[in-house]
Amino acid sequence: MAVSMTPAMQAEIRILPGNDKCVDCGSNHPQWASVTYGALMCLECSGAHRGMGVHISFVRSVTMDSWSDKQLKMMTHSSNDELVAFWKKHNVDPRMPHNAKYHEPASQLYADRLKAKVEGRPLPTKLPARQAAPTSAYDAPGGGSMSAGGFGGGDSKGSAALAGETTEQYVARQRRLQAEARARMRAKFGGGGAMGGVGSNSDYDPKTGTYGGGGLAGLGQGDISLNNVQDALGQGVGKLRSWGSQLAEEETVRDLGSKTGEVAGAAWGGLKRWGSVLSDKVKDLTVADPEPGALTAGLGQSGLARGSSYEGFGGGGSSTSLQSMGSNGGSSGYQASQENGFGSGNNRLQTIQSLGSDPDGASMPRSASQRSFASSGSGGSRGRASPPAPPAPAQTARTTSSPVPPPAPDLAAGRSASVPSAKPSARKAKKLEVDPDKDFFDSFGV
Amino acid sequence: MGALFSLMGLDGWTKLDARLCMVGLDAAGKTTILYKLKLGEVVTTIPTIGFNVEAIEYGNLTLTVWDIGGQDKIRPLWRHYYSDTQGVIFVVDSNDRDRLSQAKDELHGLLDQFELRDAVVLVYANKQDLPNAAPAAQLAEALQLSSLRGRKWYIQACCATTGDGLYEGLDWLKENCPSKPAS
Repeated sequence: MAVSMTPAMQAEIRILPGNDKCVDCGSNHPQWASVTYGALMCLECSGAHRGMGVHISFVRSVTMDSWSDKQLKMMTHSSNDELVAFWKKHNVDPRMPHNAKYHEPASQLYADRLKAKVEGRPLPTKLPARQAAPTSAYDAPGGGSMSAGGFGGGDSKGSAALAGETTEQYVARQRRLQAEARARMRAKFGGGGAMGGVGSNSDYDPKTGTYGGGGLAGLGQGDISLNNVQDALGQGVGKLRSWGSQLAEEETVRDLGSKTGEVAGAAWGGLKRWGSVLSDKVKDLTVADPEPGALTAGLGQSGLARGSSYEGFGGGGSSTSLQSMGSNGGSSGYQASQENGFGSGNNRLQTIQSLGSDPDGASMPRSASQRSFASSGSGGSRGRASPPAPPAPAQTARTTSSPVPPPAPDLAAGRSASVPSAKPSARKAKKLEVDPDKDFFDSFGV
Repeated sequence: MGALFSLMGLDGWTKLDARLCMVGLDAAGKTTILYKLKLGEVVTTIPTIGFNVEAIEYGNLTLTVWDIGGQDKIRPLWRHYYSDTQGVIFVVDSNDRDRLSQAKDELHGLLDQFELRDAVVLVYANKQDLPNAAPAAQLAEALQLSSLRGRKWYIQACCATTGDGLYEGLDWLKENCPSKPAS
């Protein structure tokens, strides 16, 4: 049970040796505590501790946080002097910057011993293996690695400028730190390091910031492996079932079928390259139209860009779930029209004809050809929706890697591109002209 | 009117305002996110006692973001910032798995507030660069977001120090946060 420290508890901790001064910088009357080390520190140093992450140091305020029994015990079983003495015994300079000091094996051993003491386990004595202090832009001035960096003082891994560092050097160093952090995330998430998202509305497409493109795309952007696709398909179906409680299972499957149609439609866009006659190809594709399960298998064999077909899946899946949820009234007009185009799963001709007016080019490759979609005027078919349509999508949105907001003219361009046309087929033709076939095949890895 | 602008391709010109509260447990990264969005820089933060407020321009939308301190004892003060709030940004330390259930309680507690009945919720799953960070989908489960009926929510993985994911979250807000024309 977590409680506020009573004045008596506070006194009990403050009276411990060394607890009248910050364990890191020596400031008087420290008000903050690292539970991990059972030490007290000042406000500034608590910022540095928080920046390292709770796996290194868990920070509480003596007066403004509530404390559990175990946390209080951690504080009473240790003191600032004890920690400093332990550092000195292991040749760690207590004046080292935070990030380096608390990544020392001796620090970790101290934390392990304290935890063992509180939990009544035998105390570990073996120093853990040295781990390189991660480059952390969270770090505060004065924190960081002693060994790295050629500057006079400060933290070569921190966000504060170092002594003697020029602006160019500072910017270069910060860029490098961020690149390293991105590399860590990329190693974890794979792909372009883009961040995933999940929302109440599976219809939302984080890549474009609009609806209809692919609700689950946020789960994993970039290079999506077949496994991910299968997982995502599974998750998508699971979500559909849970969210659309009235949604019958056959409907889900039928919906998948309609999406398969979209993929087939995208393939048709590629076939157009050879200038084939529309109706013949449509028939061919209809025949080749696989089962939902076969879709993934087919993707695996042919090495298609799974990301794009996967998006198409998400978008369609959500059209039904949305309607059953009724939470997204804004796009229902669009969904209805999409249903007309795709829902039946039988009329492939219709399916493919509506491809050209598909919101984000449906399953068409997004990355390289996105701009050409927008500029060709087929970027958003939301205009086709009945009046309560949501704001038209800004198709020219910046790349996800750029943290800079898109300039207003870009937005305006994107929006004007989504002005609806009364003739979907005309737009389709136009899009196929503008959309370079190269993009299409590139994205499919062919 | 909006539809008319949309037809004319002018809706990018209408200036919109939205007022947002950014809350979350202590040390989740709220202040770092606020200033990364405002300045594009990683600032050295100290625990927020009270609040920070900044206007963040994003496209045609001006977000007034209130970043409110997360210490246990000052959490009851959050509710004083809720009135006239169109959206909540809830920041979670993805690396702090021990306190996820506490974060869940705080989130559901604040969404029970009457003043936030129409507010949309953006959850930033912050600190994704740290070793033990939980992915967004897992956090969505831990925070029981799917139990939020009739509420628009979105959880976005992010790393405030690199800025990754922050603007994706704002993209969602732009589409989903009820905003009003700038006065």
